[in-house]
Amino acid sequence: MSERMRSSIVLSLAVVIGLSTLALPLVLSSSDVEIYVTIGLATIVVTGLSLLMGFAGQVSLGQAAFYGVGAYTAGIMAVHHWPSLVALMAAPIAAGVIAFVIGVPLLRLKGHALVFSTLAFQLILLVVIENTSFLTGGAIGLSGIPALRIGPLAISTGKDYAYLVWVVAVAVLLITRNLTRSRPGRALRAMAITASGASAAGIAVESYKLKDFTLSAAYAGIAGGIYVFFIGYISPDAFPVTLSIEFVIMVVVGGIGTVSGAFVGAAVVTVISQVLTSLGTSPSLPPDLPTVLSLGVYALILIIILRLIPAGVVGTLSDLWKKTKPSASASGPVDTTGRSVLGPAVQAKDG
Amino acid sequence: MTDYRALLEVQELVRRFGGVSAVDSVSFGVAEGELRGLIGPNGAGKSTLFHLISGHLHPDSGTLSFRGKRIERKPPAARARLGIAITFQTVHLFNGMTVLENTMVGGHAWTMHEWIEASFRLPRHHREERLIKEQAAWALERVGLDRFMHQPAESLPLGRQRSLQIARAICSKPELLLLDEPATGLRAEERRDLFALLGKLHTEGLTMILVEHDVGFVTSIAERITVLDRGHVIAEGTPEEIQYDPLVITAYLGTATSDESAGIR
Repeated sequence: MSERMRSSIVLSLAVVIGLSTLALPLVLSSSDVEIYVTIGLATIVVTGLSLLMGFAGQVSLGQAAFYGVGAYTAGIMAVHHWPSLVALMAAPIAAGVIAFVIGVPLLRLKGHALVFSTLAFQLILLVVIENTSFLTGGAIGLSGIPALRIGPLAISTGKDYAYLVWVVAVAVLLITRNLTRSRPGRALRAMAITASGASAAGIAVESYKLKDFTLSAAYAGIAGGIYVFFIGYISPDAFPVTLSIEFVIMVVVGGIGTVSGAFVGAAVVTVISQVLTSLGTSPSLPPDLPTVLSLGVYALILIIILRLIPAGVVGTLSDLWKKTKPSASASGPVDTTGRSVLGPAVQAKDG
Repeated sequence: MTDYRALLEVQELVRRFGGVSAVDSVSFGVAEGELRGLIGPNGAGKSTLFHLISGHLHPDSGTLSFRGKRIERKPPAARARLGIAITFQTVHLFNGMTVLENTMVGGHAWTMHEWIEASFRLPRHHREERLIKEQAAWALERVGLDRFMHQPAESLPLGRQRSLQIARAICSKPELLLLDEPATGLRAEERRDLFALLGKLHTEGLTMILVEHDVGFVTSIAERITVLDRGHVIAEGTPEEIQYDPLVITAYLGTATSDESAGIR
């Protein structure tokens, strides 16, 4: 395949995805638009989590908590008559600030201890929400959240939210892509591989971890903020621990540390979970079935992905894509010992 | 020894592990532009001293000064920003990144732009990325890896991986380069290349400390050599001086392999 053909394939793929993203809300039914918005929200959260898992090498099982912090921040402010746009803007800030504050002690932990501490944070947060009903509505929830207004624009229909969420998702993806392809992005990748090597190169590893944790929480926060205006009502039930697990599964399915993997993982897992829910809620089936079914299926997906394509969907596809590069079959630079130092999937421009 | 202004001044440095003093009141100074060898038999404390200077270990007591500034409590990243670059004995590469990207990580030390500037592609991001890339390309050319720029770092053979570590160090525009056993595991030809490269960097005025097991390698390139044994400095001088130092000979004969004692004589 020639270089020109390859780039035109990439370009047309991007155009097709872009156009269908724009056109879809117009043709979808209202319940499908809801799924569409859900995928967009998950994409935003998962982009941040992927940045945390793939670049700083940290796993958070409390990402739904930051999603919840964003949702409650925006919801409470909107109910108290703050301008809705200000409330939405406050969502990522609140989530980021909380992540920064708890990140200082939490990020001193490593591996499993860190994972469980983020899980514990979410459980604590849920208890706090249930016990501060004067502010949050407690277990009953917070209702009467007005529609979002951006200047003269009222964002009220599902379609409106579909566009809003994708504008934000694209912005988040672009920011993340820019970040990963720069000095701080290289530093994050380097420290995920070897922290002592990274610190020797002048990278302040601890502070970078904290920034990454904060940014990923802010992404979850803005998604939560959009969610609360879209649904108009929130209760602690909307932020279960299983949601945090779902976000991690999405990262793994899409491919840890790949920016576009966030979207693929979010879409695949959201659709699967919707199918399972509709299956489980058909009459004559026990009410617990969706939860049990989805947990079982997630476990299965996780095992299959990790066994067969540990790089995730996007990671695996991009590896396959690289193999089609024109010079892959030609001989590359040769080591002084005479053996080719290039693997089959690798090419060098001057080869 | 005090007639020059030392770039690095090590004073009474102590580091214990349990009851054992791996480094025990070690003092020495390295002048600007010097290529200093640091040798000693196994367990002499070379690696501990190396990590004390790089910042990956902290001393129990004693001081370290770099350009007259105390650094013994600074973390490794802060020392790197001051101009101290290191290459590890066990190669620390950033696998999954290309040779060029690995080298560019070295540019972190002298650039400033952070997350917001990178996220929104602000002017300083563009300016600094260009400078880092130029410096990295130049550093790769210096070590002879420019042909392999776009390859994954882990695909290089060991000798070239070591060169890549040096390229990354050069990309950080160091004022002091610490090399921990760079010749270990190299083939004869790779060793000659390394020798030539270090010689070239030395003539350009880069200050280096070469921690090396291979005494022959060090004595052939270093101007001055500091000899450690059981945590103490037992000798310091030109390669000729230390080769005939009775303390050094005893230290090496006590534990040496035939290779090393051959190098010493």
